[in-house]
Amino acid sequence: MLKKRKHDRDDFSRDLNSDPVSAKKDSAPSFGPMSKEEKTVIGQHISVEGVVRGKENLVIEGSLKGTIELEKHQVTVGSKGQVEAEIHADSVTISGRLIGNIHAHGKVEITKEADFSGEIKAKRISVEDGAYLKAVIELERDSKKPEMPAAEPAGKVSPLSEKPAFNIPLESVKGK
Amino acid sequence: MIVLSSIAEKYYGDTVSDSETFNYKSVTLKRFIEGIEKDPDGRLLDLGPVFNDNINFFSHRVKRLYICDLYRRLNDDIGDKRPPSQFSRHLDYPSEAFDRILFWDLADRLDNSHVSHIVERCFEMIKPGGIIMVLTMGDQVSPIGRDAFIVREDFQLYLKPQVYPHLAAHYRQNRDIMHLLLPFTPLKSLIYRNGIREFLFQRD
Repeated sequence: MLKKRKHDRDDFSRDLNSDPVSAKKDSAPSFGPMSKEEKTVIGQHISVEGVVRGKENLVIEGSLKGTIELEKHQVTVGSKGQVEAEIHADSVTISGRLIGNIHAHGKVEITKEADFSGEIKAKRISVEDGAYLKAVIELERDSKKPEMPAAEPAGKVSPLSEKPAFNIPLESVKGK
Repeated sequence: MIVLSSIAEKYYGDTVSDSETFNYKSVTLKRFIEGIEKDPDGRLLDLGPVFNDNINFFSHRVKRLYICDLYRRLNDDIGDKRPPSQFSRHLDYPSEAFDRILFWDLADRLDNSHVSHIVERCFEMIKPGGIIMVLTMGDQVSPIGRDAFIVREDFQLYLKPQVYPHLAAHYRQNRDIMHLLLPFTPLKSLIYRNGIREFLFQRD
């Protein structure tokens, strides 16, 4: 059913190719505080309805309907994931289908494979060009200048003028 | 009929040798945004393709940024052979919901039947006093085959390859644009040396 592993993202990718129903655990169990790397995977053939709460990261490759409350952890909707949920998390990554609202303390990442409809409230957002979005985005706004990607190389010359060739004020247009 | 082109003085820039340099500063976009930057409830609807640059640019400047990629939806609808009258179903927003609507160059991509439905919906969705911004490529086709806009710092607009290049292009004269946007009052029109035209229209 649910897989719990302590591994990185690459390991997870390999997991998806294995039996999605079998639960795998590390051979050496940990008795200390839960590692931040630890995560639970909802496999491709698993459906969950209800409230999901916890203290570790969550990866959804199956379907989930309900509420996810993982305030200090990461939620990932994998490319096979089908989710209808209200998500409260530290960060959220979407590669599958998600209908719902996201409240993230940190960053929301949307890949180009994603199909997202809903509202995003987050500190930062990153969207791969071409992602399927119908969204409302509300980022934390502060007085600092927003981070913007670097401009094109300065050595190249723009052929375009910054001055308008013509400017018709409203009065002129109306007078015609 | 208002004929802007008759009083427009056009200049064309130098030959573009490198597509990456195709950019200009949009004074119209600056004016478009200025009015809602400090509005604690400013709402902007972006109808253009989903680009990370644009989302980050606008989401840091308005309280609530709404994204609805009409290019992709047009592409899907054409593939599904849906009638143009159904196209506005994608804009299922409440009336008078937005302060600004960024139409980008959709007028270049939609045929008359599509665009009239969309403009009608935009008029319903925008608040009185709200502004819609329209760009068109002009009769000088982009020499680099790039006609999707992204905006970066200091209101610099860059052109990227269109995500859906097979969507038909519909060149429209200024008077045609004005006619299509007739429900709105024209505020400002600019044409740049690169041939790109920018329009601001307001709902009274």
